Amino acid sequence: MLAWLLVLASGILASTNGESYHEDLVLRPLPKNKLLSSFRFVAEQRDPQLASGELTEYTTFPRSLGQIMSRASTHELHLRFSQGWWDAESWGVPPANGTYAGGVGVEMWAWVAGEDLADAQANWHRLAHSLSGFFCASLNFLDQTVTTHLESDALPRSGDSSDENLYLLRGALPAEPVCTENLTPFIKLLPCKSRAGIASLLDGHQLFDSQWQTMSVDVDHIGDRLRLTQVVSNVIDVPHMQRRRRDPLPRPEPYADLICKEREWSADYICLPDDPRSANWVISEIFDKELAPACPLAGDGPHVFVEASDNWTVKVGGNVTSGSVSFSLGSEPVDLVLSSEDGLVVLENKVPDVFVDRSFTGYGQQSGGLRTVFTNPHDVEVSLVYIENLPWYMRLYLHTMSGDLDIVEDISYTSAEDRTRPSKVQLHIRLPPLSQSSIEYKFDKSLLYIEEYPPDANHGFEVPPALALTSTGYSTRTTSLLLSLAVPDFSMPYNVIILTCTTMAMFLGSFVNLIVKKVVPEPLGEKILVESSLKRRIQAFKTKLIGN
Amino acid sequence: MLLVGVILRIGLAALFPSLPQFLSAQVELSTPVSSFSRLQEGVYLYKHLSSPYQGNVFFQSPLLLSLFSVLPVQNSFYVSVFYALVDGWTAYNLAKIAKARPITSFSPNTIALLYLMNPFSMLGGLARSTLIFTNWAIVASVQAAIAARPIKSVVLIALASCLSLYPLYLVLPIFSLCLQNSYRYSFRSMVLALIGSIGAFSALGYLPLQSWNFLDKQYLTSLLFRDLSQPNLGVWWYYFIEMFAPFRPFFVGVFQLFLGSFPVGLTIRFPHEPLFVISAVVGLLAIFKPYPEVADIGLFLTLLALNKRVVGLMRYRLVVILGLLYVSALAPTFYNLWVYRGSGNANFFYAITLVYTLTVALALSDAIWAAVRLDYDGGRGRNLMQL
Amino acid sequence: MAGQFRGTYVSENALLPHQASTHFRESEWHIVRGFRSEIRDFKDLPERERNARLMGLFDEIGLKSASHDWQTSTTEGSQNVYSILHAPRGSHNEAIVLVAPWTNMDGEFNDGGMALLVSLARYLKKWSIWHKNLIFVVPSNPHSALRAWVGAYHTSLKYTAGSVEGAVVLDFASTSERFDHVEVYYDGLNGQLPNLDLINTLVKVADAEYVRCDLPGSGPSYHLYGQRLQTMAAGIFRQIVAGIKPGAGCEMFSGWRIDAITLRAVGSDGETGHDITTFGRLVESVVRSINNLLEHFHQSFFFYLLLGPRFFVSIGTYLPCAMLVSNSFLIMAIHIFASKRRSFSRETIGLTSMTLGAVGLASLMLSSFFVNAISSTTWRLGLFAAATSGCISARKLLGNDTKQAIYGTALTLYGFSLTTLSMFNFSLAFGLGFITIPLAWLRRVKFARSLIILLTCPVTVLGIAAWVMDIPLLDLIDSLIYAHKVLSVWTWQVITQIWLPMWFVGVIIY
Repeated sequence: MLAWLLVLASGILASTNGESYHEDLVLRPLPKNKLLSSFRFVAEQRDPQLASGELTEYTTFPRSLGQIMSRASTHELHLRFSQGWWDAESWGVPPANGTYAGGVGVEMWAWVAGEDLADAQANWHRLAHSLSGFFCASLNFLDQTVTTHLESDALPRSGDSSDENLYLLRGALPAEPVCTENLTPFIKLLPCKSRAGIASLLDGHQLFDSQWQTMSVDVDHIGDRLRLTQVVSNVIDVPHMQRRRRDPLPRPEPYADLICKEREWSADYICLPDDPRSANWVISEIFDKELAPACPLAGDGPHVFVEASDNWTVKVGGNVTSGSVSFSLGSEPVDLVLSSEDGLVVLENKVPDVFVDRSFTGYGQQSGGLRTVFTNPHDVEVSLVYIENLPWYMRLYLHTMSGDLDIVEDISYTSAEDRTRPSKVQLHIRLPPLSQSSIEYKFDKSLLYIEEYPPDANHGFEVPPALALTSTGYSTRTTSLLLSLAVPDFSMPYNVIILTCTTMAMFLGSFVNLIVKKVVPEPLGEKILVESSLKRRIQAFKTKLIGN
Repeated sequence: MLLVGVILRIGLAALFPSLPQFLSAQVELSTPVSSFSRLQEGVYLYKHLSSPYQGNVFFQSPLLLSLFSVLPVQNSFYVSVFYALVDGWTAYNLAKIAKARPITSFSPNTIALLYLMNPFSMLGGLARSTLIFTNWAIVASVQAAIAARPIKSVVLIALASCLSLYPLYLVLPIFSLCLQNSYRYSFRSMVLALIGSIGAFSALGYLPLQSWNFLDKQYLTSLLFRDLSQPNLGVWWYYFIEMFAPFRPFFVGVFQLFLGSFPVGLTIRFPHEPLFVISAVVGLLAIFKPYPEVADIGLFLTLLALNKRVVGLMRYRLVVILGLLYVSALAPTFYNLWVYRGSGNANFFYAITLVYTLTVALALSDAIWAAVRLDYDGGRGRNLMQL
Repeated sequence: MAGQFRGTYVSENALLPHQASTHFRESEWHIVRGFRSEIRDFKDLPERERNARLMGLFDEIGLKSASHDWQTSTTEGSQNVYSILHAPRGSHNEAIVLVAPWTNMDGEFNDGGMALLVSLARYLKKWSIWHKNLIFVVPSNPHSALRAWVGAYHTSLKYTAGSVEGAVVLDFASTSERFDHVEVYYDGLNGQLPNLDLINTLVKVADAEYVRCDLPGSGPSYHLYGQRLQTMAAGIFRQIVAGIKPGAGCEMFSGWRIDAITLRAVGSDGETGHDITTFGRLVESVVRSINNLLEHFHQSFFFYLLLGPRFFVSIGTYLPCAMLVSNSFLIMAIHIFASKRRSFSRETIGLTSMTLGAVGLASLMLSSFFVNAISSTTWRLGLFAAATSGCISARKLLGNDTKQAIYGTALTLYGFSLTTLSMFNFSLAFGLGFITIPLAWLRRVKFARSLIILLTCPVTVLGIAAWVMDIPLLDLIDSLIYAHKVLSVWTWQVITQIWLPMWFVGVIIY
């Protein structure tokens, strides 16, 4: 009864609020027995802050997030939580052309309004702190030493509000771990939480045991409407997940269960392991749950899309189809089985526009080099923007840039300021077809004050991933890098102070001794010594007093 | 002699083309305020991208920026030739000073040889530290003062101070030297000349980038010890790394005060020997400056040799020489063990820093005692003791 | 001696050796056998094809593998295979390397090691707990091939996986699947040693698996003084010849702050003893411990002399030996300078500098210039003979005063060089000082001067060393120069630029 009232109420409000909510799940087998699952939730409604006169309120769009954004004067927010490594060579392009994938750790960029840059940075600070509590992630570390200010059109806008006073600010924390406590507030933003719809498959144990996973939150304005897009994607190693269900520890398989290849020397006790090529993937086994009934607020459109090649058969409820299929969730829980005779044959993946790899060169803790390799696998030219934010304790020497410099059309460089801002290197690159080019430049590593080293100082510092955006809208990030800096001895403050001050005082002492004193011959010196002894001085003082 | 020294440096740079680059990376030879690779970066930024003074890499004088933006800074050989010529000119000036003071100094040949063949100044020159220019300006200023050209001397010392901050401590002894050697100008006019030249050089520094940023970046970095990128032979870096945050500004003030309290005292104590005072202050700068390097020591040893009688009366010469040898062998060793191999600790290198400070401090106090003796009785007395 | 050494202990608390249960056992042994037979099947194929087959094995497991072609300037080159397991829960910027070369250090076919590597790769992939990437490398030999791979990893390799925290080289060349005990090699080039914690972890893990752990060149009873002495001497000798004599593979990681050890299964011809999966469990536990680390190895000692798997001498105890040896040169120099009644004249100083300069120049030319220009060692020996005759003629020309000045200065510089060297490579400095100490006695000893000169000549000592190591002298010199050029080992530089000038000075003044 209550549910009907709610639906009625939302129907009434729908007419005034223009709200909508869609969700869909894409399942796609990847090469080598992996499954890509991508959950997308889009909630849209008229912005209550902008509406004037009409009665509007937050319905599908969560009020908490809306209030945070308006308090921080943020027009567009993009937040990414990622873990793992996306194998672009084998798996192609991440979902939505890489738009919803971020670099390792936490990444945030937003178009923030403000009178000037300082005002915008204050708003960013407010935004980061509020979101930090909201998502249980240490976003409060996105302070000015980690945040950069880019030109407003450096990154693609997904909304379209054009306000001149918007500043694009971006920061990344690559060392931030992503786990269940970040997933829970993410799910709480959804209208049906994880009780209905595709979100019922989201489970921390399964999601975070994947090869690669990313959660993204995108908030933007379209006209006067607010839109929230949440995407969770992950790549699951299916045999691994199935094995984990049987036994969480990789105990040795029972002898009888070993599947071996045929060779002349094969025997009971000599086994060249063979993994069966047939696949039978039961979604409730992989995700540990069945798909719950549809969320009442989600539309009627197909909710689940399976993108598989024709040798795959998809069994949904009672229906069996082969190849790609899509279906909607009904009012009953449903299970999905993907099976194939040859699980290694999958749909061909779209080859990414460009492959970018970044690594450190050199050795030692004084200096090093940064080397980026760009590979263009297509036979057309690719132009891309490569943005790198490096922490201020890396002192870059751009004059040492070497390698295939003719691919670089333009360099935009904002140098770092100690303890104030990171450096920004923005390269506009045009890659010739079917080529591999590399660019390398050197930097010096800096020492830090003793309190600026983290407790695990010998671990090193994480350098955020670099971002590469092609003109066709493909965005990719490199891996983060571990920068090891020279470390002083942390047990030494007292010792250093006393040793240094002793050295300085010794010199001061002998210097003052030499400069201030007068040189006299020895007999005179002895006379003065005798005269200035305490007894004589007391006598002289008495004489003076008494006036003898 | 001069030619031999200059040709040797050029030859070394030619034979081992990667030597300057390698030496420039050694922390004992080049510091963040005098490193040649930072100068190259500054020139590159100036020519292509943005202001070099808006970042955290370049902290040197805009005069050097302008100079090296017209020189072919990328070609390593020509730069080494230029540095060798500058060093040769410094040695020539030193020889002229020695010639003007035949009694109190070693022969001009010995002095020039000492400067050019001195491993410290040779390494500093090969590493292309920009302190070489400051040293050139200091020596030229002293030479001009002795040759009775006080205005030229004042202008040159102003240039030295504009290139790097600390030669300002040499101003008083230079004035004293000028007044000793020429009677035409008064103290007041020299002060005016100093202020004028500093203003002129600052204005020249304004020109390349049309901004006064360089004052903040160049001088305040050196004064307030802002840039902590790499260790050096001095005592400042480890002290301030390990110091707790609230006390840092206080101790920056204390250390600057410490450094600044010596030159004035020396000038007052030895009013008739400004050349010795200059040598002693250069030695002081070599240990208590925020960013010392071996080029400082090279200059100190040579300037000290300009006072032959002082050197003759020093008692600990062998200890100082052995100590400096010891430091120059072990400092790169321990730095390598700490930073490259990772098997050593920062404390190893810090200990060598302390040994260096103590050795040069010993040399300084010994020299000052010798000067005191000279002052008193011309060094004739035998059994003099320090009370 | 008792009281001079200490027992080893695991210093880094995060390592927690053998706290996790290991499951590489039972049916995994069948899989090891399967991989071993498969590898034996294609071991005789040409290099490219067999590497392709090996890459296929890694591909089937699901790892990303690639081949690396390398060539040093001396027309020596081949192909290595490597494969990366990307850690699901890590930040992808740290890695642990496991190496199993095709042939082990003695040139034997390392089929056990390679089979173990592939089956460990398959097994370790089942775990979800990796925080660091795992890299499995199969170089063609544990010397130049492995070095080329490590060098390429830090400059230009196609797939990299972050900075390497630790490396273990597996050596299980055998005809059977059982082994008696494990030998641990821990040398590094130029006197570098891995952090003692890595060895301690391994010893503790071996303890828990009841596997005996030995140091190479010594037997099991480390409680005996003689055994410990032998171990220490063997350790010092191995450090001196690291890089020159083909080593165990772990020294190829030196220079990049990577701690590496080699595990070698010994006694693997019989049918009794531990089985190969026990060896695998050792590796698994060590890798689990390294995975636990948050920081690089930094807690435990980097300077030590191992007297046994559980006994070591720390630097504070052994450094005074090297210091005494090098300071004796200094003391002789000071004695020479102090016993002069009047100071040296200008001509003496001039001649001294010229002679020392000539000696230095000759040594420099012998060491580096002719390394590049003249490739034949006989030419080099000829040049050496020419220089020696130059010194003998100089001996007749120079006066006593000059000779004293030269001797004193040379002794000072030599003492300083040895002190500096002992900070880097204690064994080399100690050995060098020990052999050349008679050069400091040249002026005091009246009778055996020629004998001293002969015995301390670098060529003689190298000849004796060659005889001990059982290779021709020319080959030894060639491998010294090769180590200098390709592996950046300093021993050749030390011999020609520190030892040789001192010996030349000895010839001049005796």
